Amino acid sequence: MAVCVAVVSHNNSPKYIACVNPDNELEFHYKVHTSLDVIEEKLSNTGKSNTESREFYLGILYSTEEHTIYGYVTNTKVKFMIVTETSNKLLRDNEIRAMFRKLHSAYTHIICNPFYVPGDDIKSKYFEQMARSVMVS
Amino acid sequence: MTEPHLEEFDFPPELKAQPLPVVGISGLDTLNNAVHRNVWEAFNNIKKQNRPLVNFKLITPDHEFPPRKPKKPSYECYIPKGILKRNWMDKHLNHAPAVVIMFYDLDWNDPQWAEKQTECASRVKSLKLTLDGRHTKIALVLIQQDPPIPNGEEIIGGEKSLSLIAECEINRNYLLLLPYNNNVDQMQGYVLNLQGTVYDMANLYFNQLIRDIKSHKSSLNKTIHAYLFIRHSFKIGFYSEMKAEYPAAHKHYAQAYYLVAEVKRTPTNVTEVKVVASYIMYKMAALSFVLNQAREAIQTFHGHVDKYKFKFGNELLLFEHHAWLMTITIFIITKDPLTELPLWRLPVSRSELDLSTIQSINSIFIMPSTSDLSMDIKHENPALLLECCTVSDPLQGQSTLDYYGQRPWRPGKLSAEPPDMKKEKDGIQALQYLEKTQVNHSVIIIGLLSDAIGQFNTYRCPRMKKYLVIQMAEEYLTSRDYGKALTLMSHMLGDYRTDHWSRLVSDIVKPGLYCAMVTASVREYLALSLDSDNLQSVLSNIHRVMNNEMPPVIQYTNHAHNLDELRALWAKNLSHEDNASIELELNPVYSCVRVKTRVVYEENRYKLSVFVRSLFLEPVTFSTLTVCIGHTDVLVASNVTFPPNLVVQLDTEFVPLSRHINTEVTITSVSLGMQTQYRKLVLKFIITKDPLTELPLWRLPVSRSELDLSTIQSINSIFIMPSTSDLSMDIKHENPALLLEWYPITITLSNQGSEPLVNLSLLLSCEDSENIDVSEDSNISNQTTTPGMAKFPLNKSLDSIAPSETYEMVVYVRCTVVTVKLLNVKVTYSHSSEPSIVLSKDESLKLDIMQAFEISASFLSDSFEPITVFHSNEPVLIQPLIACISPCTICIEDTSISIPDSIEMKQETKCQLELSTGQIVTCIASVVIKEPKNLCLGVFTVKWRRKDSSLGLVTSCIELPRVDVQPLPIQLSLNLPAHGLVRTPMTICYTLYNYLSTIVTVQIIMESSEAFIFSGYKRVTIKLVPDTEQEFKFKIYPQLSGLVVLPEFKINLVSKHEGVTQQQINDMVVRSIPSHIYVLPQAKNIELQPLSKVIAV
Repeated sequence: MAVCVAVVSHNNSPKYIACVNPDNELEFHYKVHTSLDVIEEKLSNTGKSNTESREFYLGILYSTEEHTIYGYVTNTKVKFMIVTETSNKLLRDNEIRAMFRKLHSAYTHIICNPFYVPGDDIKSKYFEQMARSVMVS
Repeated sequence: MTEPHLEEFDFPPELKAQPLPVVGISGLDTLNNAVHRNVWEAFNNIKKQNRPLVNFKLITPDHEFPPRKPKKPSYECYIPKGILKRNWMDKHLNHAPAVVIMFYDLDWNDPQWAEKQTECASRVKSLKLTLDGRHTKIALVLIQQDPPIPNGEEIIGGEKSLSLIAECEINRNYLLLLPYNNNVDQMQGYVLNLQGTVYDMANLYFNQLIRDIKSHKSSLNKTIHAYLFIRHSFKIGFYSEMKAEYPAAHKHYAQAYYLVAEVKRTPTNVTEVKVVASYIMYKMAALSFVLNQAREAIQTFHGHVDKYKFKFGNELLLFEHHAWLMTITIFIITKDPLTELPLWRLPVSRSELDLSTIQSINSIFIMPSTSDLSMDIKHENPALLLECCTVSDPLQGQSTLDYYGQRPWRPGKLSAEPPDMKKEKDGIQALQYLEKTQVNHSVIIIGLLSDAIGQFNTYRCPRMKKYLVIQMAEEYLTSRDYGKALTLMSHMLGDYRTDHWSRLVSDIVKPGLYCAMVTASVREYLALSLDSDNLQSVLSNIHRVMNNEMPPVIQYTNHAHNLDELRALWAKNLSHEDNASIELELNPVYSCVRVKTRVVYEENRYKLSVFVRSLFLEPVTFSTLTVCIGHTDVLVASNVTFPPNLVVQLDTEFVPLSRHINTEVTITSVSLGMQTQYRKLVLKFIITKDPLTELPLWRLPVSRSELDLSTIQSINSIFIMPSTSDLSMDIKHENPALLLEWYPITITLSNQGSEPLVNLSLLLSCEDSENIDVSEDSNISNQTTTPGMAKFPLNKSLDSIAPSETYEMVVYVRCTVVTVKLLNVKVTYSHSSEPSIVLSKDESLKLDIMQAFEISASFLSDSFEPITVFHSNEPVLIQPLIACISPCTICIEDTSISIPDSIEMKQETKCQLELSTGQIVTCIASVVIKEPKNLCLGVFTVKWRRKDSSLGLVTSCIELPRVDVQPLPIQLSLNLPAHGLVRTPMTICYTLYNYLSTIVTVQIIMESSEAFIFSGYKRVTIKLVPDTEQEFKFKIYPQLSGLVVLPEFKINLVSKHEGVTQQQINDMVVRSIPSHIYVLPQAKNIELQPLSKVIAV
């Protein structure tokens, strides 16, 4: 359902970007990068109020005529983004949330791996598998 | 350049203009009549100062109004040929007035009233004639100049006005007055009033028009007259907008928009429908902005794009559809110079918008992604184009068609009519031809992109902006402006690189490298090569450039380049002197050569290590490797070769300079130099604290035989401590220091090392060097200025101290206030073996300054009674007290009281003794104050030293208090023996002295007393001559023994006398003479012996 999944670190460098069609990879890189503007905007607005009760899911960051980008930010400012096709009207908000939760738990899983150095690019089979499942399902 | 088919989609100026009712102003001769000119100016001024309600137009007498169309007898057989007429909006905006104001100069008291009234009426009538058939309202305004300016309301009801109204046949309310004034500003109020009236009239006019339109409605047929329904709704909306009834206008536009959507689209009318729909949409969105509903406007726009996105009509003209999409997209972001209206100005500050609005604005730009569309235009277009349109241009007259959005080759045709296939084909081909030949897409696209970039800048979306800049660069590249493309790309590259978006970096590097190659930009070429991930050719390319050879040609686009020209360009640029030495800044972690640095302190040495790992596929040699640490360059190695992919460690020693001591020095960069005979290339790796490269604490140690760069923890800064081991410094002094004394401080330096210390320099400084003096001279005395005295900081240099030798110096400091002083002693020195390394040692000492003693003074009368009031010519005793509060014993060598001239010193005692803590000593001086005035009693000086000090004496002075001295007019003194004997006569003598300058008459009374028998004046009145004394002698014969009260001596003033009062005299008598005398009993012979014995004891 998703066409692209991205993980961006707290200092806005990409950690993992995968997409269904490798030909569009560059386009998605740009899209994910530009969506960070919206995420930062949203974070700076909510940052003033209570940070603890902030919801991770940010909703639609923006939609173009082809793609819609959703955002999700953890407490440690690790950003997850899911790109879907705008034409896919069947997708519900709940399903997107579920996808993000899945990604988040997968991310937590690899962070717990003592051989993974936080800050490195994510090169985990498990995470890859989970990301693929989000894109295919 | 003309863009015929794009023009059609652009919004026409009449659509973008703010609709204002046209008000014709007639009867003003602005060319020849100054009064009229001023009136016209006053109307123009409204525009500058206030938001105008109506649009004033000057009408000349021979003006022709647009002819009124003949009324259609019936709509039933009328078939509309299009939706919106091209000239209709323009007509109502500029030509068809809602109101015409007729100006006429006429004063109430005009002598030729009758003639003028007739002339005026005839003018009004002729105006009415020209406007025949229209609903245009006519107002008559009389310009009145005669003072007093009448109040319009009252006069209009008058007789003259009534006759004027009757003759002109106008509405009574439409006769207005304009009191004329030379000052345009003063007329402003009248003009604004007039505007309000006119505006109301215009509203009536439009209401009439709206009613007319609505009356047609019943006779219309939905199937045939679909276009008319749209047209009518649009017209009502437009009229409402004229009336400034924006909600109503929006409603009618929305209705029209809805009706457009209902129209059945055929290939023949699709452009028209699209164009009209977007015009109406523009109006709706613009009104939403006016009504402060920015979000609604954006929604309208979104909905519109969604609806018409896929309605493109003829496949061959797909590009046209994209152009249309693009135009409606950009209308929101472009600032149209024609419409300086507040309509499309988005709220300026972010806080004015709630978040979702920002997002929608973002999405406006992102959604149809203007550049994508415009690129489609370009690529869509089939290459097969045609040299047709030779004989007759089917596009002729496109901009003069009756209706918006129709094809020039098919004007006014009904959609139902079957199209002429031949004409249709020609027209399409002609459009394609124009698109191909006359439109420079890149210029349009770049313009749009720069507009969008501006918007994103305003709304602080840096990344989106960067993306658009890259797209712009690509567009420049396509339009063969390689230089601009290269500049934009290299600017953006840095930002992407710092955020580690390597995929994007490599995407930008490729076209960048191509641009640099084509433009022969040596510096950029080298920089981009080093960023390239194609490591195979990078090194050889760099070597070629270094050796003045042109790098291999890269193919990125299908642009053809002349190889010879390129070669010449490269040769020229390579030999340019700007390119002889190139310095490139690189990231030490993400470049083709990776660098880490460490600086550590080991075995009294600062060890500097550089770890280099080259990612090139071949060994690479650099001529120099320098490290910049603490702003000094340290050469680590020269002519060093790095094997591919292996970490090389290079060590050197860092010798700190004197300015580095006690500071933290940081490695700021590592430079790798490469040199050939043609040029010098320096790769400068800027070392920063990059959080990404900071290793987490729990990184696992990797045990490998070779070094791994990732496991090396870089240490980029170190604190340089001064080396102090060889010199010892000892400071001796006896705190506290006493005020004003020269206080000795002994500084002892000893060399405890094994080699001589040289270039010693001792610096004695004090942070607060006020009130403190310093000297090295042991003979320094207490004088305030002496040759041996110096000021802080005291600097002393010394050539050398041999091993195990000591050097001692004594400095003397003197402080003149009671305080605490902090002195710093700093010694810098170096070893004789390494004189360039300066070492230092410092120490500080605290001095408590305190007083040696406290001095107070008391004052006594002749009879040792404390006194508070001083009188001239009376003896006073001054008794200074010296209380020692110093912790050490001090010797007082001398004391003295120096008194001013007006005081006479009778007698003085001096002190000379030792005082220890808590002891008090006093001395005394008897003085007589000669003059009655306020004066200082003098200065008490103590000369002292510490008991164990061999230095000179310290002189401390204290000023005795100031006192008020009272005058003494008459002085009385008594000469009395020390004692008397019972029954033995003795003589006492009272002496009176008159200090006044006049004769004083006093009565002297000697009261009788039981204890004495006396002889002399008992009561006498005498005159006291100025400055003379008079004596009164008495022989007294004591009757009793013991301490006996003398007979009372009284002086009474006989009469009032200036300068002296009885009270003064009485006080003086009490103060100056004793009241008692000691009278011994008569000596008896038998008892005389023991008494004398007693006295002897």
